[in-house]
Amino acid sequence: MNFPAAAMLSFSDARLAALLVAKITAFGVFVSSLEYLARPKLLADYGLMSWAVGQVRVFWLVSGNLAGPLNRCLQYPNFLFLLAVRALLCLSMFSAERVLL
Amino acid sequence: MVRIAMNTLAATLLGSWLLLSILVLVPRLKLIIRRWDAVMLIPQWSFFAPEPAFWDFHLLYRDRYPDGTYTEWTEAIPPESRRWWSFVWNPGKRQRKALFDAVVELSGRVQLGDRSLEASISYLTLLTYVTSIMRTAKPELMQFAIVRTLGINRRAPDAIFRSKAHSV
Repeated sequence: MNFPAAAMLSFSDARLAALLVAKITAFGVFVSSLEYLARPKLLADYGLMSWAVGQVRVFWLVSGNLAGPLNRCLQYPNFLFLLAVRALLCLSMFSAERVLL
Repeated sequence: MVRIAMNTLAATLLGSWLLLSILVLVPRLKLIIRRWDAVMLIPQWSFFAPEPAFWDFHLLYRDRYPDGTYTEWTEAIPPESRRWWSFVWNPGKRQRKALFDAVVELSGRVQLGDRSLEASISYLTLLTYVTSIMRTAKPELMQFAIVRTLGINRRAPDAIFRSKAHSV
């Protein structure tokens, strides 16, 4: 089986490979973010993935210096904003033409 | 210079993450790493080991009204039919996975005879969820149960856990 030399060279390019891996990953994370945003009640205080309940797993997630900022970021509905940002970042990766290596 | 620093930082962070993801597979180190991994950044790659998951779990609840009558056991998260596009877009799987994780953790604690079961995250998660389900009338007490099934009609449903009655 003969492959064109140019195609072989481009496929063996480490930067291109990294870019394609990044794009495939971005697609997966994008879909995942949208799936969470489509069912936001899962993340609500009474949901099965509730931060309000999950944070009592360890004491420093409930009280202390780190608890305040973490709460602001991860409590419902603020966390939905983070998911939306993550989805937008993934979109920006789709249009990326090169990776920093 | 900045780019070198950023690359070094990224390589260090990702390298440490990779190293911890490998070290967590060592039984002696697993407990130590998991103890400090409060936000669960280290993935669990056991998949089908040591025992493959072949049970389907169902979360059921029933209410008791002030006159002493009980409702029928009702499934809290009814199963959804799969569509042809579910392999790409399937938001319902997040809820099923969350239920599965909570049930697996809870059943593990039940098997160990954990006395602080009712203070566990899995118990509180299921209790909070079931309590929040909309009802037509406010019950006095509420109880939930975990039932497992094997395939479709391959075996009679098996109740593996029943909670105490909680006031709503």
